[in-house]
This record gives sequence, structure tokens and C-alpha cells, in this order.
Amino acid sequence: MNKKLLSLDNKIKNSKCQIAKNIWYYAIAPVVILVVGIILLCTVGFNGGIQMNGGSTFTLYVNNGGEISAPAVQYDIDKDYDEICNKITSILADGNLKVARFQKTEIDIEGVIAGGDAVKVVFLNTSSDNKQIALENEAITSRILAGFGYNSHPEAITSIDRFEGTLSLTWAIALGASIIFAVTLAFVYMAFRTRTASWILGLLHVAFDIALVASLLLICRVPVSTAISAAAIVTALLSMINVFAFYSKAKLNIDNGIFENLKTTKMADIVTKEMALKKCIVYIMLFVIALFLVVWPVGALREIALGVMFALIATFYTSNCVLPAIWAGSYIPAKKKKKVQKEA
Amino acid sequence: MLKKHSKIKFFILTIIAILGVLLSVCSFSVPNSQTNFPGFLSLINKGIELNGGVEAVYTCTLKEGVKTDLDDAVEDAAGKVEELYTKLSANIGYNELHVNKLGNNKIQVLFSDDASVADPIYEYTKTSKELYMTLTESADANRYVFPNDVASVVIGRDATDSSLGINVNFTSLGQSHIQDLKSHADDDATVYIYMGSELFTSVSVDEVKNGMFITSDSVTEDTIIETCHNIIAGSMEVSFTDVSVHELSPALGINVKLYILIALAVIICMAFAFMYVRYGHLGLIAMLSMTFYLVLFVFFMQAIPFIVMNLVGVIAGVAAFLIATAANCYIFEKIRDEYAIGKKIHISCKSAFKSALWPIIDSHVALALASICIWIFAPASVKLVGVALLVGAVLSVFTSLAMTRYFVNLYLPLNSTKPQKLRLYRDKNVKEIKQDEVEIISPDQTIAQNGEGENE
Repeated sequence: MNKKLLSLDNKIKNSKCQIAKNIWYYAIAPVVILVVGIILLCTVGFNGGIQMNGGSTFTLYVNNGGEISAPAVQYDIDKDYDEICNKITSILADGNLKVARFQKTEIDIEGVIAGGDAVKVVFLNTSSDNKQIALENEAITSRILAGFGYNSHPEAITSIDRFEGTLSLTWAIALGASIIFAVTLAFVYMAFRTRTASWILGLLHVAFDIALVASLLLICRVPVSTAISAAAIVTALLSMINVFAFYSKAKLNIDNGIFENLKTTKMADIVTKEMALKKCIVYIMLFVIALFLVVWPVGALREIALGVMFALIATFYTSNCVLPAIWAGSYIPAKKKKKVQKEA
Repeated sequence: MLKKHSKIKFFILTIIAILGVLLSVCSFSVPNSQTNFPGFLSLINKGIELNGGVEAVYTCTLKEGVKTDLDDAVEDAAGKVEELYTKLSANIGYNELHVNKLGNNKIQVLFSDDASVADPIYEYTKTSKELYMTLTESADANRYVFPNDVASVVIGRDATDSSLGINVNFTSLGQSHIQDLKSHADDDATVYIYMGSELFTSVSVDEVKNGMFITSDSVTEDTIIETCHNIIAGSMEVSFTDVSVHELSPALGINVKLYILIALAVIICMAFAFMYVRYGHLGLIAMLSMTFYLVLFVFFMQAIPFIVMNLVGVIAGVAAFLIATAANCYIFEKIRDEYAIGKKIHISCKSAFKSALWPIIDSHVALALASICIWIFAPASVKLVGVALLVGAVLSVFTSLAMTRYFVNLYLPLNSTKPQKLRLYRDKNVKEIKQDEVEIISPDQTIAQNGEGENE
């Protein structure tokens, strides 16, 4: 196993692929994604989830103790919870409505029961027009009453109320600004530590990665919620780590004299190829974790994992194909060596 | 002898790690007391997403004589209800609070923990005191400043005699009403401030301004809070006709905590398996070190009082764990590199820790700075990411540079001659560097050398 990895590592290191020199070819894919993303942002915008666009909610009594007589169906909320949720989902799906979440709660029905078991349903409306929503919600009420056999007790379902989304443009700006501040501060520290002005370009790389992930989210129509902020932060982290790793590896090679008399594009290629295999292993590991979370039965976790998967794809591509060119463009050989040479 | 010491120390450390895990996960009753210790993991404050909470829905109707649109009045009242909850929760300490407008006549309040505060707010709206100002001493006189002109009230003290009172802040409309009042009043006129039908106090017209201080003989330490709440409740343009308070299950699903715990366990196992496969016994050492990391992380998460765990926080915790794992992997990769160029195992370990020191410190300081920035500037729902990453960064430095190093030094007497157990391999055509042996000066390496001798 180890020998196979070593031979693969050697193959990568000895490959004649010129990455930094052919940056324009490698930049085509991310630039196309960015342009499509910008067009989508200007035309249709993000696929707003319940937190962005708002939705409607109602509470439905579950006939736990059989207080409502036949034809109402009697359910045990603990045992039949999934069945109740599936039934509501299918009723709402008939009207092209998507359920965002179910929660167990209680309901008071005057003259029937106080604190009876109930299910709170939150769903996304298909329209943003208030009149349309009112009509939509009215139709749902009658369908649910019929579906659960509560026609004689219309108070078994509360009124369907619309609520507005809590995520605003201010929220998005605050998140974006905090990430940019955070990354800038980290790079300023590193610039002080290593005395390298090219860290500013590293900041540009992180911004590019975040924009790329946002474009991918736009193109793939992943619902945007507070959970997606985790994906943005993971992208910034991965991108930062890639920049740190690349710059420190390049510095190590320069200190060890490996880059004597080499062009900067060649230097960048060597560093990329040296790191390629280890980076592949780490990314495969992270991708497996993200994939595992995508299939895990927690909806919100799936949204984050999808965002993280995009972050992994974008940062892997840019760290291997774009970052070397950025480094090569920003690297200025130390003047000390020239002085030493002159003195000699 | 050294081998025996190492084995004993590893045994003790493993027992401590297992105890740490048990303290984090298991609940038990404390002996000789009626206290039940639920485990660090259960003690972490969890938000509505993970733990559920309480929902209070207030149904609103416009007060008599109010001409504002119901929608606008409910929206304004929602802000004031949030203020009331925040003030009332000062003693209770909510983990989380969300106030939304529901439909066009309802206010939904979602909060964690204690439902007992929902009813007092309903009561305050029943006993609310409408604050208004007149220029003549009569409750029926022409009003210039109205109850809904009050934006917020704060308990304060008079600058001159330190008497207890209330600072009243007005809305922009309220401030224009104050100007209107001043234009109708003489320079030395008295303004009468009423609460309900009772005269609360009177002040000179110059004192009427935004943030003005009012007090009266009826204000005491016992009644001041209630008076403030009554004024806020009275400033609403709606009255509550009904309130329903019910518990809610976690927003992400009933079994969300169990699912997330299983997912976390799988991720941890995957990371551990990866480290064992790639680094052999070094991977086992990292597992021990990472176990301490996890126990400390969970401990700090429950110890820091303002942390309210939500899904984003969980993801930040996973990211912090993976960063700590990466720090250990970085050190082990360095050991592999050093060994590959011909150094002995113990010298490789020393060189690796030496060369990994500053890169790890630098990257973690940068991460900590970034985390602090996120903590300060990010929106409220994301602030937890900053805290989790900051705690993770600090613990990661400690575990990778101190604990892992100590464990590796403990391990070397047990094995410093069998590199295959550590998945260490020489590069092609590389022979062992002999001259490095004379550089061994630290006591740790002396121990390592002796250990090696014993192995032989």
C-alpha cells in the first residue's frame, strides 16, 4: 500500500504538467461558474429556504385519546409520529407545497381537550403573493380536515398563519464582512510573521474561493439558511489552510535551496506536485465525511454537508490550479542573495 | 525498567481518558447526595434547534381609539414584547429567544427553558399603564405625548439627588410630539405626566426631552421594575385577547440529538481509523491525545456560560476537531519525512516536533484571531462558530504540542527500533545517519536511547 502511494507520489512529482504557466486554461472553469453565478444572483437570486423567504405554519390535533369520534382517525403520537408526518407531507405535496419541519406540541380545543397532543407544521408557500397564499392555505385546511376525518371539528387545526423570513441582506452582509475581517486579520498576522507581502494575494484567493462556492450554491439551488453560514466559514478555513500550506512549503523549499535558478512558475509547479498526494488523501477523507453527512437523516445537516462538499471541490481545484499562479505572480526573489552574489 | 514505567504511565493515562469520556457522556447520581450528574455533554446549553423549547402565541386586537393599521401595530408590539421578555429574562437567563409576527394579528415568541414568564407578560398587558402628557392637571385634558410614543424605558437615578426613577426614550414620532407640546406651552409651563388615569408626576417643560428622567413618591425599589413593564405594555397599540403557551420538540426533529451524536461518533471513529492506518502506533498515541482534546472541548463548551449549542455550533466543533487532528497529522508527517532521510526514530521525533512548532503555533494563532473576529462581528446565530473555533484552536495547540509530544516521549522507550509499527519508511538508497547520535543531549532522548537499549 505504502509502496503504491510512493510510486504514485513519484509519478505526480515527475509529471510534465505545467500548472502555473497555463493558468488561463485552468481558470476557464471557475470563471464560467462565477459568471453563471453572478447572472443567477442578478436574475433569480438564491434559493431561499424557510429562514430567508418565510413560510406558513399551523398546528394539527392528533386524536391521541380518541376525543374526536369516527370517522376521525385515532393516532398515538409516540408510535405513529412518522405516519402522521408522512400523511401531512403527502397532503401538502398535492398542492406542490414542501414541508420544512414538524415539531411535537400541544393544542387546546374548547370543549374537547386542553393540552392535547398535536403536531406543528412549518411549510414553504409556492407563491409570495399574500392573496394567493391565503387561498392556498384555505385549500390546505379543508384537505387536512378531510384527510384526518376532522370535518365535524374544524377547530382541530389552528388557522394557517404566514410568517416572514428572518434572514435579511443585513445578515448576509454581516456574515460576509465578519469572514473577510477574520481572514484579513489572520493574513496580516502571517504577513508580520513571515515578512511576505504576497499574503495579500492569499486574501484574494480566499475571496475567490468563497465567491466560487456561493456560485455553486446558486447554480445547484441549495436552500440558503443560517446553516449555510457554516459552509461559508468552512470554505474560508479550507482556503486559508491551503494558502498557509502552500506558502510555507514554498518557503521551506526556498530556504533549502531547492529553487536555485528556477523560474517562479516552475517553482510553483514543484510545490503543487509535492503537496498533491497528501492533499488528495486529506480531501478524500473530508469528502467521505461530507458524503456521510449528506445521507444522514437530518435535513439541516444535509444542507450544510452539501455546502461543505462544494467548498471541498472548489478549494481543491483552486488550491491546485489557481493558487500556484497567484504565488508565482506575487513571488519576488530575495534581494540579499543578489547582494551576496555581487559581493562575490 | 523504563519500559515498565512507560507502560504504567500509559495505563494510568488511558484510565484517566476513559474516566473523562465517562464523565462527558454518562449520567450518574453523586454518592451521599440527591444530586444527579448528567455528564458534560448533557450540561451544554442547547438551543431550540436541538433541545426544543416553549412557544407562546399572543392574539392581538387594536386598542380602542387607535387608528393605526393592525399589521403595523402588531409589528411594533412584537418589538416591545421582545423587550419585555429580555427584561424579564434577566433573572431567568434564556438560552434563546425569537419573536416573530404570525399572520396579521399574532405574535409568536419562541424561547427555551422556562415557560413561566409567558403569563406575567400577558398579565402586564392587562394591568398596563398608559403614559401620556398634558399641559393641564386633568386626565381628560388634551394629550400632547401619547402612550405609543414611548420607545423604551430604563431604570435610572437622578443626577442631582440620586433618587430612583425611569429614563423614558421616545420614538421619532414621539419626539415630534414633544416639539408640538413645547410649541403650545409657555416657557415656565408645567407638564403633567399621567399613567393611566393617575397623575404620576409633573415636570417643567424644559425637562421634557428624549431620554428624560421621571420619578414620583410612589416609585420604590419594589415597584420600579413593575412600573417599567407596565409602561412598555401600555405603549403597545394592541391588547392581547388570548395567549397560548405550549412546549415544542426540537426544531430539527425529535431524535436529532441522537442522530447528531451517532454522526459525531462515526466521524471521530473515521478520523481515528485513518490515523491508525497511516501512522500505526503514532495513530494510537494521537487517539489518546485527541480523546483528551474531546473531553476538554466538551468540558469548556458546558463551562462557558453564554454558549448555546445549535447545528452551526456542532459543525464548528467538528471543524475544530478536524483541525486538531490535522495538527497531529502534520507532526507525524514531519516524523515520516525526517525518518525517510535517514534519521533514527527518536531523533526524527525530536526534529519533527522542533520543525512543526512554529508552523502549528502560527496557523493556530491565525485561526484564533480569525475566530475572535467571527465571534465579535458575525450575526448572532453564527457567533458560536467563533467561540467553538477559538476554544478548539487553543486546545489543539495544547494537545498537539504538549500532550502528543509527552505521549511520544513516553512511547519511545517501548519501541524505538521497529519503524514498521509506526509506518515509517526510508527513502530509496538512504542509509541511517550515524553522526546525529552525538547530538542527543535532552533527557527525553537519553530515556529514549536507554529504552532502545532495553529493546535490543
